[in-house]
Amino acid sequence: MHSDPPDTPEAPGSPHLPVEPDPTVEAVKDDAADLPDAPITIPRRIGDDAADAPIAVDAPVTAEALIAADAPDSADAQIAADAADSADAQITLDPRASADGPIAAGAPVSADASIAADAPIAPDAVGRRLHPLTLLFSTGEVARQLILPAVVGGISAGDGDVGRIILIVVLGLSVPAAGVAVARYLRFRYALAGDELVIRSGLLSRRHRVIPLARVQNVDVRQGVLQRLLHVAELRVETAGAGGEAEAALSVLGAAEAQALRGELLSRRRAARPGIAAPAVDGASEASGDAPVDAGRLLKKLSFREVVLAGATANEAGVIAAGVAGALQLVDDVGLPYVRRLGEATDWVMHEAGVGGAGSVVLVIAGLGLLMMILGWGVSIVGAVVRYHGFTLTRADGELRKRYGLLTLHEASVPLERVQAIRVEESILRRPLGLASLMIETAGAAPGQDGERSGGAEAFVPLARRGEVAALVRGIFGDFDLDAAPLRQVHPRARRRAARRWAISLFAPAALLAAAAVLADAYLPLLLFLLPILPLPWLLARREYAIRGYAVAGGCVVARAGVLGRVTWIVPEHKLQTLHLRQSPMQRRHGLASLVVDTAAGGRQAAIADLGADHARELLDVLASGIRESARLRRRQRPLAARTTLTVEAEDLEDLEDSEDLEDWKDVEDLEDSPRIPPAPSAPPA
Amino acid sequence: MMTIEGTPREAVEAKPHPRVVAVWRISALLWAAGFAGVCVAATVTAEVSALWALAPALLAVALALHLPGARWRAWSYRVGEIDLRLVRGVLWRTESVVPHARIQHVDTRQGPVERMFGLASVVVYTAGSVGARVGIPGLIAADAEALRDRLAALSGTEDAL
Repeated sequence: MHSDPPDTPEAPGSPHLPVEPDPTVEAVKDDAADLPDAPITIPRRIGDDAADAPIAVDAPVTAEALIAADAPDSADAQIAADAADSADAQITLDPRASADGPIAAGAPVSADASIAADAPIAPDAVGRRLHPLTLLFSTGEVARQLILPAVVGGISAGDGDVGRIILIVVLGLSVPAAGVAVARYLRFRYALAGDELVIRSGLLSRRHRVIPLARVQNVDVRQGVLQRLLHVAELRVETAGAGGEAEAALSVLGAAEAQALRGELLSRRRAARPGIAAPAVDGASEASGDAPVDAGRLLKKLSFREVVLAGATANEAGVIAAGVAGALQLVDDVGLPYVRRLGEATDWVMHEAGVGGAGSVVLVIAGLGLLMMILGWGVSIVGAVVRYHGFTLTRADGELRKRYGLLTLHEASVPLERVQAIRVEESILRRPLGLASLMIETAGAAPGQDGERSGGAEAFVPLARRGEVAALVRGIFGDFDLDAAPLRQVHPRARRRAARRWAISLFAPAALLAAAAVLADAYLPLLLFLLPILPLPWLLARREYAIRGYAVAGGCVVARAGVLGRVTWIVPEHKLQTLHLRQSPMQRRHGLASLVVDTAAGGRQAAIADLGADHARELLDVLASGIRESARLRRRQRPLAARTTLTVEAEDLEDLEDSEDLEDWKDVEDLEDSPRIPPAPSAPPA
Repeated sequence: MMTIEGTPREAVEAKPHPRVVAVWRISALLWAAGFAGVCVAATVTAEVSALWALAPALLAVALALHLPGARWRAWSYRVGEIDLRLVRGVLWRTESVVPHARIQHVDTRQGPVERMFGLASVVVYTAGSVGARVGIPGLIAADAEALRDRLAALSGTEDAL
């Protein structure tokens, strides 16, 4: 290990102002690091000639003496740091400095670097600082919170003393606030020591946080617009612990350093978790040294057109509005008189109904509503472009990584073993277009969602063509082939049950409405409008039954449901936690039962509703013994000492698959349009 | 319950101790009393005859007396070699399977009424979402502790995410 130099006390005053490089510093530095002679005023790279990467100096002409050094040879670093310190010069990090460190490409390495340290480090003596631009962002935050409002307030208060006093007080406050920001920056240290991420922070109440890398769930790198311009990024580390807050937020680091640190964190986490199998097929060779982002297998890339399509189909209202607007345009082309007549007709109906004649008003209101909906639609499209522009999803190093964003670049990674289930959602709009979106259910906080934990409400893959879904699922769940898992129908009595339920939920309000109309002495023929709902329960039930399907195959439980849109759950058997068989009184009477498969996913459960009760119980037993089987396999494969998150390899899944009889299953792309598969033999129709 | 292949014979179905019915009745009656109180208060504030409160109050008391028995009859559990199985629910019936491999930790609990009757419950926690907490009520206190230790031992040391 290279012991790190002791905390270099910063020069008082404003140490981060660019300082003219002192010739003595230059001399000492060159001495210390045994560097070839070169004028320090010229940016240069020295690491090239020393494979061990002693000290790299990159000094822009702006008189900012930037030293980036990773020193396996601690003495050198020590001297360099001390010398620079004594000479009142500024030592800082340059993110673009050296590509030659023992760390990943482009990682800046400071004089007190500890990233490459193999042995644990005495925590008090070490740690790296954040990027100096942190000061810009933290003081910028102070400015945003104090100064700008003060100035605005002062100006708006006019010439009076009040405005001036506000201005003075707030400016007076902002100086210590900025001072605190600086002191915080100076105090903040982080280090990657052995299997732990150590963070020291806090001015008055000091905090020393140790995060075992084996517990790390997510490592996100985020870049705002300004951050992207300045080549810095924020790194967030999350563990499975409760709360939406990241357990560690390094804001900000040099962009390259953030990437390198992320790669290092992830590869060390893997090393710290012997239970995690080497990532299969892809990315196995990707050690920490390679560029961590673009490696691996590309699962999905959204073209601009697809992003627009994703926004356009994101919510139903907008599209309906566009449709109606188109229709109105048509009406307009045909002739305004008809519209006027429509208004008159509306007036008449309203009058007859005893509401009073205001048909044209109604039309205007409807028009305004329509306008709002179209605007909303546009906002939805623009929003999708801003958010998802350049979306890519890759699988590498045993995790899923996605990158997206037009202004703010989002990068999120989810360890594959954390994925509990996939949900394929085909909304009412997207289904006819052959489009879907993929949600993944994870244990704990959903990744890539900025604090908002709405149970994974954000699509993991915002848009995918139906044909791509199976490939995507395969990309996430390894060998599981969705297309090769034909769905079986639930029990036929499910349709009658659905029809009864629809009838109750539709006819009961209709009856109430009719009763109210009679009591209120309204225009009774209006009730004829209720007639079209008469066949609805039957139609809806038919459709619901057609959509419902399930499969237990290939190591996964697949359950599909929906009425207008549809949702397909894909739950790996080895992720199942508990199983439940539920029967309502009605289901019990008709010999039906619902099978609930519970995973560690937050809040939502997959369920197969209305199976024949006996068949449901059989499935329950099959799945229960599958859980035991996968647990046993896992125990055999990994040392007990490693109590970490698990993965189960593909072989396990195949083992589990044997329990299912695939003989009489036919491959069906889409149940509704295909010949029927008979329901399970153990559940004969009534 | 049906027999499952591989399940040892000794994994017999068990029921909560019958005394638990009394426990349930007492707590249900407390609820019913509270409900009756609310009903009476409602009639008083609405300035109608207190007789209106009689019907719902009586209904609540009747349910409080009747349901615990039905609930007990519906309850059964079995600690097998590979999993814990529970059947419960009077109207909405639920059969749950909690594989031992998925158990995170196990508690015993004893409410004040349970203590009076020398009973306790075992609560099993998994990493699941909705079915993450499953309880077995009506165990003799010592049995509850034994069951808790047994389940904890069966659960193994795996991190079952």
